[in-house]
Amino acid sequence: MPAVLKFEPAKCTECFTCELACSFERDRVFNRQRARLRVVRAWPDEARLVVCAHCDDPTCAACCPSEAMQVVGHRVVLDAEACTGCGICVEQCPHGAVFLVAGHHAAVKCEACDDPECVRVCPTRALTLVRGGDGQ
Amino acid sequence: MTSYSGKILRYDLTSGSREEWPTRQLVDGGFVGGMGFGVKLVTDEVASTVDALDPGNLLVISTGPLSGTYAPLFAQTNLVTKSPLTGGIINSYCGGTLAGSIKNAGYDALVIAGRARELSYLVVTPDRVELVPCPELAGQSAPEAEEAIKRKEGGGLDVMSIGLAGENRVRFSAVIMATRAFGRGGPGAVFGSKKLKAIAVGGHLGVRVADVAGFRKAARRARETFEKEIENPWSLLGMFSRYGTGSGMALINEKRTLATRNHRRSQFDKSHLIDGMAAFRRYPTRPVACLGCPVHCGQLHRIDEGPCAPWARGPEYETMYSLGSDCEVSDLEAVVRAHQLCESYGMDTLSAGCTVAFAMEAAERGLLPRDAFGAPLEFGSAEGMLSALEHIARRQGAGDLLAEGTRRAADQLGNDAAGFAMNVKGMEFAAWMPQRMRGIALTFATSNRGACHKRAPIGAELMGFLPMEATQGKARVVKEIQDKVNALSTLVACRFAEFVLPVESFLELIETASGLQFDETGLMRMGERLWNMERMFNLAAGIEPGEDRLPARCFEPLEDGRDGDKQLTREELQFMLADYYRERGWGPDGRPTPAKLAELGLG
Repeated sequence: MPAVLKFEPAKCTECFTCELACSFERDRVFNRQRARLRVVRAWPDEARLVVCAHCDDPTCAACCPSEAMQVVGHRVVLDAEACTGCGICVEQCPHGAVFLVAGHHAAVKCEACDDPECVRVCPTRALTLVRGGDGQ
Repeated sequence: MTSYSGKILRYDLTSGSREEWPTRQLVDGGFVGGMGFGVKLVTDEVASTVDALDPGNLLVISTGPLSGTYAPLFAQTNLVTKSPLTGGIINSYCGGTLAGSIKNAGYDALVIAGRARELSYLVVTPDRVELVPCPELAGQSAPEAEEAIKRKEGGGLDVMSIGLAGENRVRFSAVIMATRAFGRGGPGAVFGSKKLKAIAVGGHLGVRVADVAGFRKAARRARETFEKEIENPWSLLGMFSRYGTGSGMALINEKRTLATRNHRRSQFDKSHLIDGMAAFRRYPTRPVACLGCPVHCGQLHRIDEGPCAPWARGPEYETMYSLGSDCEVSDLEAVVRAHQLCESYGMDTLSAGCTVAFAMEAAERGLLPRDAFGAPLEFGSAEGMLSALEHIARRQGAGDLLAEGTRRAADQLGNDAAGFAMNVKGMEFAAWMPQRMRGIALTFATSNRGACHKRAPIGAELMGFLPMEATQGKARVVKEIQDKVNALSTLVACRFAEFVLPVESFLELIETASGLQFDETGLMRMGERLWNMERMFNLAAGIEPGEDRLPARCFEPLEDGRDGDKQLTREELQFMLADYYRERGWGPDGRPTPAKLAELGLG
């Protein structure tokens, strides 16, 4: 079974360390706009996490004109070289989990890292990695 | 210099011209960042005698070498300007996400000069620096202005804005950013005097570091230090992370150091009704953090009904004192509402509350009418406190006088009102009591920004490491902490960082991020250098060493004093001052000596 990110909003303090860690690990730069996951503030409600669900039958792959979205095992993987940054998947993703980034030619999305830094850095364990499909 | 953005933006509101300066010049001069940049730029460019509300004043909003990264407790942004409240140089701090946004826009600091022709806001992004007129935002609250600007300019920007108090140049008005604030010293009024409603800033540039693996490791180690600390519910940060800074009120009350009834009493018998625990019990509450911070001392309350609905940021400890115990207001909802009013109008909660307490005492003595603001202006009256705040922000009636701060108001009222106008150099008291803690007495008397609690040996005195009533040795401790906090303010580190993070950890983070090497001695020396630069600026501004003093109230017996209390005397303060000037290497007249200045490279 695949691993999934589990987000518990009640534990999230909106420190955005996960976003910073993601951009740092993927792009070697601290830049929340380049993070592959987004914590969305909705005061007074708890924050939402927007992140790729790695769908079984992904809309993003179906709509991509350059076949940059590939299903590899249980992951949906973006081939940044093939991606033209046209933004169609950004529009189509039902989770809103593909992002365009200013100053970057391709879209970005969660790559489902093996040992995700976003999880490692979360100070309140609001974000955890659940294996065995019990993340719902 | 990897983790710096490399540029400083200078924008002149009068001419609309912009310049970019290399950050390197300042870093090479040893100024590191944050307060270092601010003090250097303001003392270089602003004539010490210029009126703080004159276009000749400068706003310097700056970040440090760790801002924007995930190094924990480096989220704050520093602001330096000439204060309309004290006439001296002040530094003020805002938490949240702002520092990262300034660096993502491509700058280490924003320097704002001049005065706009009409009310405007400034947009700063990597490809756009533009002054946008916004007469339609006149009179709007800070949060309303923030929302309107975000709607127009895009949600990805951080917006710091002023409310009506800043536009009205209330001398202790604040600049607000998503419920965080540059509170102390009146930066809101400087924005107002420049017809600057807001600055919207952000971008996609990001922050890089010199040593990726080293920085990851150093930040992880620092994070683990804090996580371990807050696991312990008995530690100060452990308590703050659960219940906010207001949770310390019971301890402070127990130690008889909770300023109450305009500093006449040291305990508030109803403090348990308004403290952090009371708020936690009354409202569904969750912690909200600054960028990258595992301590998360901020509190967000969900409020279903009443004037504060639907939500409020939890008042901090200092606010519970100023708008609570100092005014003897025991109604939690009123304190939360007052906090909201200060946020909307954009006012420093400390100075605002302390000024209302002053007004309540003035009314008690017949110097102000008790019905000056409609509701009774008297201790314990929540309605009186709230209506006073409204009148101050709007500068209505006697509110116009109080908007000038306690020092100027006392001068107007005469009749020895200065004796109970709780300020030093014009800056109203933070929560702590000089009557009870000699270290606080000396800190308040000598701080460059006035009655400042950011550079006081509070923990050491409160927890008994230093006897509260002792005078011996306090001068050295105060000098060291003043220099140390100045040094940390160049980074810009949260005040809580040095509670647990060892100095090596600071140095390791800076080096792996920026590639620059500092040592502890060098950093502390920078802190001392800044202290002396501020002192020289203030002296030239006419703030004489004689201003290193405390209002008469501090030498009066407490109304709730006990047998065996050792009352603070003027002689004790004089003793500590002489000791302090010696520790500082200043002359007995309180002026930095040429030798000291030369030693610090300021000759």
